[in-house]
Amino acid sequence: MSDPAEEKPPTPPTPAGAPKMIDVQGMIRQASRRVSVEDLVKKGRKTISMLSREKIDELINQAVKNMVDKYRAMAAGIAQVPLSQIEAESKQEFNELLHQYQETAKAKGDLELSKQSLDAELEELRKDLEKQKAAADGRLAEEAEKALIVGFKEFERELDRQVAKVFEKRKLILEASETPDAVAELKKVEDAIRPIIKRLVAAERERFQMAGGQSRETAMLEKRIEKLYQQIAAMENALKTISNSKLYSNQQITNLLRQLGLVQDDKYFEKKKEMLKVVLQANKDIRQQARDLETAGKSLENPGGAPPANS
Amino acid sequence: MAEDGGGARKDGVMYVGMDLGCFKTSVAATNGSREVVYSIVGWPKDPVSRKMLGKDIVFGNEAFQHRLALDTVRPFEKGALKYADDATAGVPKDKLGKYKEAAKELVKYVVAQCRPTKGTLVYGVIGSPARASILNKQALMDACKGTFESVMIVSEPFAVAYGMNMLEDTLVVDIGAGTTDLCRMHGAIPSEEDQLTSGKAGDFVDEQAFNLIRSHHPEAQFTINMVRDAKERLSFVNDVNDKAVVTWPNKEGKPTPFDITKELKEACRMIVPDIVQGLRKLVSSYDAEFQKRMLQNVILAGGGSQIRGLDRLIEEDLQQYGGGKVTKVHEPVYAGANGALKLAQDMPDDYWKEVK
Repeated sequence: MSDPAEEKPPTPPTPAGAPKMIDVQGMIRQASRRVSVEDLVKKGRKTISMLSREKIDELINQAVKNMVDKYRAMAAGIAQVPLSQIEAESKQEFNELLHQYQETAKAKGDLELSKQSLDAELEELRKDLEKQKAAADGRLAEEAEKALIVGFKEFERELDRQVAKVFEKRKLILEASETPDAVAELKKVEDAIRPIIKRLVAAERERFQMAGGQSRETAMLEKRIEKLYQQIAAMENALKTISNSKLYSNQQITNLLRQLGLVQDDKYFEKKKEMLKVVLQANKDIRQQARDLETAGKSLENPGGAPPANS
Repeated sequence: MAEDGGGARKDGVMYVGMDLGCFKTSVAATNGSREVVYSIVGWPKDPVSRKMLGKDIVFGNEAFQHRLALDTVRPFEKGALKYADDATAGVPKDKLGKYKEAAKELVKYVVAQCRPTKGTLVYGVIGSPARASILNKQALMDACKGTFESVMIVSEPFAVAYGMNMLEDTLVVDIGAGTTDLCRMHGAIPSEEDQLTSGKAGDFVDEQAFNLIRSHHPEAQFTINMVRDAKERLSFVNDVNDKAVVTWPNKEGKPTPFDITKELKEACRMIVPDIVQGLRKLVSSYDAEFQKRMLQNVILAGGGSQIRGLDRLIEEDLQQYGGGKVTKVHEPVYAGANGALKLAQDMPDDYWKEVK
């Protein structure tokens, strides 16, 4: 489970005032034994789960913190509770947190896989579409074109209704069984997903209209939408796991969503701020230079400037 | 209303991003409106046309449709307000007045299409050609006076890059009707040397196609607008078995199918060498370490980017320089307006007040 213990001697306990509650690293060194990978392989172990010291540290600290918070909330002094009970509950809490961490990590992995598969599929579809377009005649009678556009709009409306329905259904389930946070997180995902669907459909509509619209393309679009639904389902599952977890703070959830491409941070935020300043200055300069040119008698009517008065 | 001393409040303000193109003008606003209209303004030629149209001035698509009954002006066409070089050209005074009036009216009309509510302040960012002169930019600002409470001008390719959030190691190729603008993005506002403008763009393709079709199909009757329409619907540059067949009247006025595939393709291909050369010029004068990365990020925007296969053709031509990756923008017609709108929205309120 953990990294093999190193040969260093155990470190002394963390001094008072240090941010960590427990010297987990020292504990791990004391409690763990070194096993070579070769031995593990001989025992038939094909895969090894790795959990870093830092993560164990974090889990234990979180478990203890949860327990302390619990007793504080109960307005009961820790001293009044038997040490064995605290130990047992802490252990239980730790195991629960560890399980959740593993579940969440798995969900994250599944989600990433789902996203990768979707990306690959979309790329494949894009290539197919290009081939189809190249082969297509690309010309339709005006009436037929109009009919296609109308048909597509109807499809878009229907799709939008379906997406709304999916989220509404999920919301009702979460409202009945989960915390308000889970509902809020679902809203966050809905807000991220719906524009993505809209953008994809808009792009597809454009391609569809340009190529004259083929039944094969409609089938491809349906395939794409199906994939999107799968992605939504995967994300919903992941979200459920995240929402149930006590491990993740809002920041951590945001980070997770960011990794999945659902939160779009602006990496150029600072650069843009600077750029906007430059745009402002450039516009001020344009005005100033235009005034100077005007003073010099230059204008679009007379770009060379006013001739001298005595000429 | 954002009259609170430059705070973050943006109530009562509508932000507008506008791409005043030679041929088409696109606009996007924070109230969700998005419009694209022909950049054309017309005045009825005589009382009969005035009565028929029921208006003293006609804009955009309507003006384009009734252009035979109108005295039309394309205020942003090549050689007019946007592209007249103050060092080499001048526009006749009588004509310039009409251009300026048309520009002002067109801007007013386009913003009105966004339906701002009464009392709303309109702040706008306008795209200008990459190498527009100060006089050209001032002319654009003048055209916005009275319609916008405050306006800023940015180069069109920069607006596209900003809108796509591709501000580093990116090359933007904006193929408009009048010009093809190339811009190198390196994480800062592009300067003069980061931008190139070529006169070979949509209008050039139309002219070339017109001449080629005329010489190959002398029996066909057609106008430059018909050629443009055919180009927008049918043009492609890649080697596929597609056919561009139009039904135009022959000399006797009988609708006849004409195969103009070869002519359209040849005309469309004519803009590619200049684009590739421009890209090469911008890349070769860039930091050697990042040249390859930049060539992998070529963005194709503007109406001209809709020519099918153009991205692949540019990629093929870039092979001689080690290859590159060309990507078309998602919405070629609105990419400039969307980027300008994004800029407008990101602009702090205080800045708007400084250029009022």
